[in-house]
Amino acid sequence: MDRDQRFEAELLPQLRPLFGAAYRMTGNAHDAEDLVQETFLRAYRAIDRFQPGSNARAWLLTILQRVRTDAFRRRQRRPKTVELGDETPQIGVAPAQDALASGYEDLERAIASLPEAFRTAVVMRDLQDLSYAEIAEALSVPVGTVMSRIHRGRALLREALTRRPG
Amino acid sequence: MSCDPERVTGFVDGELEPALAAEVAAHLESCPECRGQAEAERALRVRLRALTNPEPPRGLEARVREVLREPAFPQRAMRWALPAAAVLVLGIWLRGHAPFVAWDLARDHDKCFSRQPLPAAVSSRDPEVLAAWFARQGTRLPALPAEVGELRLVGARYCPLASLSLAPHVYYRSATSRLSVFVVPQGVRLEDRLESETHGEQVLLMRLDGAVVGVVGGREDEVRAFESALRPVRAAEGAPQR
Repeated sequence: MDRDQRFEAELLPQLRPLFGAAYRMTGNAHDAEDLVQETFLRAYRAIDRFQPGSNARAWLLTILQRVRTDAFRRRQRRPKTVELGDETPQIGVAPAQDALASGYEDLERAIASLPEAFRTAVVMRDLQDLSYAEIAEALSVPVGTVMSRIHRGRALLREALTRRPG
Repeated sequence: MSCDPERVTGFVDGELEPALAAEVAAHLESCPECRGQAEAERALRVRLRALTNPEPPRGLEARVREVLREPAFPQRAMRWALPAAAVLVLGIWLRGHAPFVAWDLARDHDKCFSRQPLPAAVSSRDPEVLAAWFARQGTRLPALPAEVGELRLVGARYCPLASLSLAPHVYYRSATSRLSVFVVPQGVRLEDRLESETHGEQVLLMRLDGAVVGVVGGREDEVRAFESALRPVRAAEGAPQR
């Protein structure tokens, strides 16, 4: 299989879950779309490093996390300006209802309200089904930290859901 | 084992080593609080997993494929590729643009004659000597007069043009004025002749012996006289040409 065929067969089917993860991590569709496009571009260039048969979603999410980190660093390097309509991911901002329309608005809101580190860990584990080891790899943190973040994230989610029963 | 809520999370996820998992399982038997946490996390996980992934925006897949069509080009390079290509095209276009060439020759004429002594690589009043010197460097010079009016041949050199090519540059001088003859090596877009005033100098570009020759001087009558002097030389069959 050549590079294009591998990309089509192994990576492109992950478009929807990847967009879902990006959407829940960033809190808006526009950022999520940019993130997904850049992730697939990098994945395509690096496809030779992808082990066939390994977890494509975990590999893509690792790249996605790097794209986010790079974007974050770029933003930090940029001189500070007043931005109108700042679209950086914000804690506590619920995703637009129409884009989700899942019937689980309370749960979506609770996820969006999590501090970023916990939200990312919970999204990777409970929504994208990554193992602790895969999450640790994607976030470049020890497995113990992953367990701690998932624990804390779930505790905060339960708290938020108790406050706002849906 | 005492209560360790993080380990309970790891246990619920099936991520603990077997020995540790067994330890936590035993603890849960005797600790209602930790058991409650495990049950609540399991229930939460069921709810979270029931969430579906939002539908990607229409056309995202097509856009992803589109981006991949140009994978060899890093985006950073792309950012500069177009402006660089535009500058290159402009440069190539300018190089053959007669008014630009006229400006370039006038600029160099001024620069050379403002220096003392003249930056000549070869000095002679004899056109044959100059032609022989250029021939040794591999350049064929059109036949040039030794003098026109008051202007006398002084010397010559290669002049570096803005188009990065080297043009043979021949100096003439009288007591009151100075004049340059250039042989422009690169293809200049020129019908037959172009007369202009640039940099305060009169510039005449003309086709001669298949090359484009530029005459630059401070006085229009001298430049015109040079044109008349050069053309018969060109027309004369058997005129010395190297």
